[in-house]
Parts: sequence; structure tokens; C-alpha cells
Amino acid sequence: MTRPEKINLTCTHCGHNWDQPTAPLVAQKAVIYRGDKTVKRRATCPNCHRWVTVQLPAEYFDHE
Amino acid sequence: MSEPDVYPSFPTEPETAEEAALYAWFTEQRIKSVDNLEGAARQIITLCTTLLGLLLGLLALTEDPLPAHLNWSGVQWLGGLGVAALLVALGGALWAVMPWRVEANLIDPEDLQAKFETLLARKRLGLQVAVVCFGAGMLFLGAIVVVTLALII
Repeated sequence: MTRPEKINLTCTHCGHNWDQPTAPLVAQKAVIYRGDKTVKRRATCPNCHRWVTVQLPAEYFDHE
Repeated sequence: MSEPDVYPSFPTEPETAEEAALYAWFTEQRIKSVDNLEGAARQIITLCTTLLGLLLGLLALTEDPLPAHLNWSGVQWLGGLGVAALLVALGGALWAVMPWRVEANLIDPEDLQAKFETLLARKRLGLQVAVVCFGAGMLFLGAIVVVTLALII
């Protein structure tokens, strides 16, 4: 699966919708166990600056 | 007029209380790590200087000629290696606490981060050397006690 340049997220705190670059989310190493389909990552809402978590497909990390 | 890019949407969740607490704890530990490393290094300095002082005192007060079990070359080698390991441990700990001039640009967060990493790496290396050598020194000195007891009994 090709990793998109950005993903669309909606903040669960303030409802703000934004396009989050994927590069910073997959930049850190992740231990992906066999069978894992997703990897949890944190993103900061650019509006309220609070954290939300998002489950990214494990395939996005194959490029790193 | 080109259409705006459409990116895939992913559902988000608020952090759980445990995730937020873990993040806060690790962030706090990271900032406190310099103080923690220095505290550990000072503890090793105290232990090394106390042990080396004790050994020096024993050497000064020991009777002449030495008891037979201390003349055995194995005990002398273990003693020499133990003292050498303690001295290296002392050096490592002193390296970790040695004052170091750090010029940091307070209005540049990336510079602060880089200087913090450099400072942390130096202290970490010094303390790693100190802890390993202190452990080795303790093993050698412990071996002397065991060997001496075996020779006496």
C-alpha cells in the first residue's frame, strides 16, 4: 500500500478537520508484530493543540 | 482550476488517561535525566573514594610481613584489578559530573534540544563506564574475600 503524503483527521476534542502530513507520524521506529494491521500514533490538533490518537495501517511503515 | 487533493480519512480517538499519564511521565523523566545521572555519578564517587580510602588504610596499617594468604599471587592480582576498576569507575563518574561550558541559544529550540542531547550523551557515557567498572571492582574485591576465607579456613 502506498503511503499518502497526508491523511485527513478530525479532532475528537474540538471537531477541527485538517490534513496531517504522514511523514512525522511514521518517522519514529515502530515494532510491528506479525499479524498487526495497524499502528497507533499521536497527532496534535492544530486548532486546540490537544492530542488525538490515530490507527495507521502497518503498511505505511514499510517505507521507513 | 485544479481540484483540491483528497486525502484518506482516519478516525481519531482521544488519548486514554493512561496514555496521557505515560506521556507526561516519560517527558518528565527525560528532562530530569541529567539530574538523575549526576546524582548516580555522585553516589559512585562517594562509594569509590570510601572504598579506595579503606583499602589505602588497610595497606598502611597492615602488619609486616603480610599474612600468608595475602602473599598468594591470585589475591594480589585480584586486589590490583579491583583497585584499577574502582579508579576507572571514579574517573567515569567524575567525567559525568565535570563542569562543562555549554553555549546554547535560548531562542532556538532546536539548538537547545541538540545541546541537551550532547550533555546527556556525555553524562550517560561517563556513568555507564562508572557503573560497569564499579561492578567489576566489587566482583574482584568480593572474590578476594571468598578466596581469603577459603585459604584461612
